[in-house]
Amino acid sequence: MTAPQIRQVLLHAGHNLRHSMRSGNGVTFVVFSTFVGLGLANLLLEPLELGLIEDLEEFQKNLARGIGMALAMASLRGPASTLGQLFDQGQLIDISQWAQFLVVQQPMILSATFLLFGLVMPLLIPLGSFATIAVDAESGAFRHLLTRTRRWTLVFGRFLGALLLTALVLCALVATVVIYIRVQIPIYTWEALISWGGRGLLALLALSIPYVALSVLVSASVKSPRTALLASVIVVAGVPLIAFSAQNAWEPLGKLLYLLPWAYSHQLLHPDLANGVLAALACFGHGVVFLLAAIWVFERRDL
Amino acid sequence: MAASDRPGGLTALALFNLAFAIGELFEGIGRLVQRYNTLRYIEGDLPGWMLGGRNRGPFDSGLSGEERFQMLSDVGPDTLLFLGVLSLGAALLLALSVRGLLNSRRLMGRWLATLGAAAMITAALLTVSWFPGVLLHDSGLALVRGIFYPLLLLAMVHTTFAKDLVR
Repeated sequence: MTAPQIRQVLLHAGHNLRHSMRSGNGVTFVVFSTFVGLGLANLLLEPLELGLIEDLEEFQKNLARGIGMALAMASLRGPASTLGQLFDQGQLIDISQWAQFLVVQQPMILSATFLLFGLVMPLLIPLGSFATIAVDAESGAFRHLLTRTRRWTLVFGRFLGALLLTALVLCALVATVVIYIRVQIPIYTWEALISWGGRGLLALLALSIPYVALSVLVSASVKSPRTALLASVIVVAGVPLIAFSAQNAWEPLGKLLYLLPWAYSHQLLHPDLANGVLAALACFGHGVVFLLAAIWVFERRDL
Repeated sequence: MAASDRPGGLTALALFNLAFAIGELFEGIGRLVQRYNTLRYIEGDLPGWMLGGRNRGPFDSGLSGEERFQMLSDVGPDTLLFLGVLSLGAALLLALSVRGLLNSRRLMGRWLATLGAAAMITAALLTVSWFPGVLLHDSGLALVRGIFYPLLLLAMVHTTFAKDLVR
């Protein structure tokens, strides 16, 4: 990549960031993501804030069981009843230790918040990136723009702009939740909250890469921004639904879940940092594949 | 600038302002009702059923009505009146700014939105500093939301849309 190309990519990134805010998509994404994110955190914080939890150890135990069950379902993808029995019988030792790590060794509310964010953010991310390409394809603006720039720099730059917007929203959300937990429930130290909050933020940033790239791919593939938004959300939500249904018919079809990071995203919060790094690399790989596909589609597109 | 040249972001901000104006309206009315009931509590005129109410539901603060009104009377009816009026003022400013934003007006759009956002932030910060923590436990993150959006609004009308709000 030459210096002028890097400059072009950065110009496209900045333009995409500004344009998404000016067009309203960015504003809507920021407001909705903030509200949904803070709402989810509020759901977890409220019982503690209101003093409804009289026995903190009992609450930790129940939360660890709930998180353990969720991790068992995400990792082993078996029927909930069977996994529940195995979990209660102490046969899922690794997962039980994982849940204990998240709930006992780390600030439990922050861990649960990150797990919930990991489930919900993929559905919100298309709101901020669905229009990256499709809006100009619909308006015909590319006819003028592409006389001065290469197609791949445009796709890559707009991807970076969308990723930057998502990263800013995630940073603001995590910082707010960390500060709020410290102020309202002062049972955790700043050190514990900041170190775990930092790891969770990095995990969420890694997780956002493939979903932003997927939205850009969809945006580059269709002409209408509305179709791009709908298609992105359907793909993100549809893959796990189809994978779980197909798995019931034929076990190997459950691997369809690997089409998106749903299959391994929970590993980002694994107690073993190596697992977390591997999962982050997998997210990055997924993102690269989607971005290359977006460039390939856009290079061949008749505009 | 013709209405059709208005950036979509301004339309989105106008709609959000309308939603938040309605929210602030209810917040203001709620504070005034709270003040009215606190005055009745101080005069010993409050019906008995309003003094009970511990553990009414999962989102109750666990305080009885009596404890809650005692704390509110410590906060003071005048403070409640001030906060109520401030929220109603914020609601009015935000509602008026909707039209200004849609018509790309500098005074009605940019500056009324600025004043509305400032009033929202002031109300949220004063509520946090004047109310005892236990009374805020069911609204803590709502207050954070009450600060988040106005900050975004301020940033938008003074940076991204500064050159659009000039009429």
